[in-house]
Amino acid sequence: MSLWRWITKLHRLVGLFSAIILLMLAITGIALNHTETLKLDSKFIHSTPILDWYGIQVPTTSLNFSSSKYYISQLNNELYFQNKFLKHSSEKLIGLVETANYLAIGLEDSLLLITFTGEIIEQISMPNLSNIGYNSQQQIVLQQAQAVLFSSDDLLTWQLQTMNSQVKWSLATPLSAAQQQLLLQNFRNRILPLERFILDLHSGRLFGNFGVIIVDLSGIALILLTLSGCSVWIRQKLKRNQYRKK
Amino acid sequence: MQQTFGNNIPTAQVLWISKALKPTVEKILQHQMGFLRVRYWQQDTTSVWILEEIGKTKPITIGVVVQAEKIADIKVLAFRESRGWEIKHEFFTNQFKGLYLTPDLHLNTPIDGISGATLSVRAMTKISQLALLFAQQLSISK
Repeated sequence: MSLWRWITKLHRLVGLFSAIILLMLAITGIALNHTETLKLDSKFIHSTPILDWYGIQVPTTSLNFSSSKYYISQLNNELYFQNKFLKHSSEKLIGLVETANYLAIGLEDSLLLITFTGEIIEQISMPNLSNIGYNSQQQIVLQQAQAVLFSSDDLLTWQLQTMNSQVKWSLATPLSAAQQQLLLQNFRNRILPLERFILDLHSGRLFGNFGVIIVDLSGIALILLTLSGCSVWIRQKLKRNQYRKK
Repeated sequence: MQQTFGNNIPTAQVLWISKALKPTVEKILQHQMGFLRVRYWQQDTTSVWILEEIGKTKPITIGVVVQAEKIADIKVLAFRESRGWEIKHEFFTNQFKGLYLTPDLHLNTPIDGISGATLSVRAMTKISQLALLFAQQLSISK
């Protein structure tokens, strides 16, 4: 077999071999180029086999507080209201109080107010909180370091609560088994962003070292395709020129 | 607060973001609003606003003093990002002083950026625009 014929055959074989991987690289590359537009970083993988493939584990317990109708949970650094993601919070959850107009969520260094549908109203900075509850007048009471404070003007100012025995503090309560399972599932479904998955697919890391080698080989294949393609084209052009001269 | 009001710090008040105001707030923020009301302190034509906006990944807390609908002072109160802290310095914050909001919701003078702190600069600019917008709302409601 002549060298040129061998190069043409190599070009065809390498082209066929790498077509699928190059197609995948092209599609994932285009997607990654438009991460913000496609909101890839705010979409999450829900597929159980893929999450299992990544070995994603969830904590077995959560910190939960409940009022008569509502409950709030914290798993790692995420807050969940009625099992739905509410917001990130590195501050520890300390309690939940329901008022006539909103829910007050006590965090270590702030008070988070939300509507009954889970919309954030306001987060008020209140350092060193250890407890949240309500007094006999149904006013929100906070324990800040050694002081116990209550507010009578929609949380704009705070006064010292003297009758501590009248305070009913919010206490951690376990979720039912079904609620706990749903919470853990929802938490698991927010761990792996689509962007991470596509990035790992693009680099081949999704399949470990083997995947990286395959993507590297497809890169080498692309170089070979370029070289063999150019040489085939140059040879054909030279042949055509020689034929015209004759 | 003491720098602005001295020893007579006024009681905090809240401004509820109405449905009519929400699109304007979101236009400035360029994302969904994460709050329904903001806290402020006011005395005569001076108001102080403490607002938060994400720089790259973490919220930056910024205090803005607005006097007669112009920025009198702006300060970073809490910076949690690992990069972009240069916005804390006066050489940067001084350029906000005296600025006001144009009818198309921009500051009347463009802010000079800092290389490596683009997102923090953007967050501070958005907060200054918001504080001016909220201060305008107080004047309108009067």
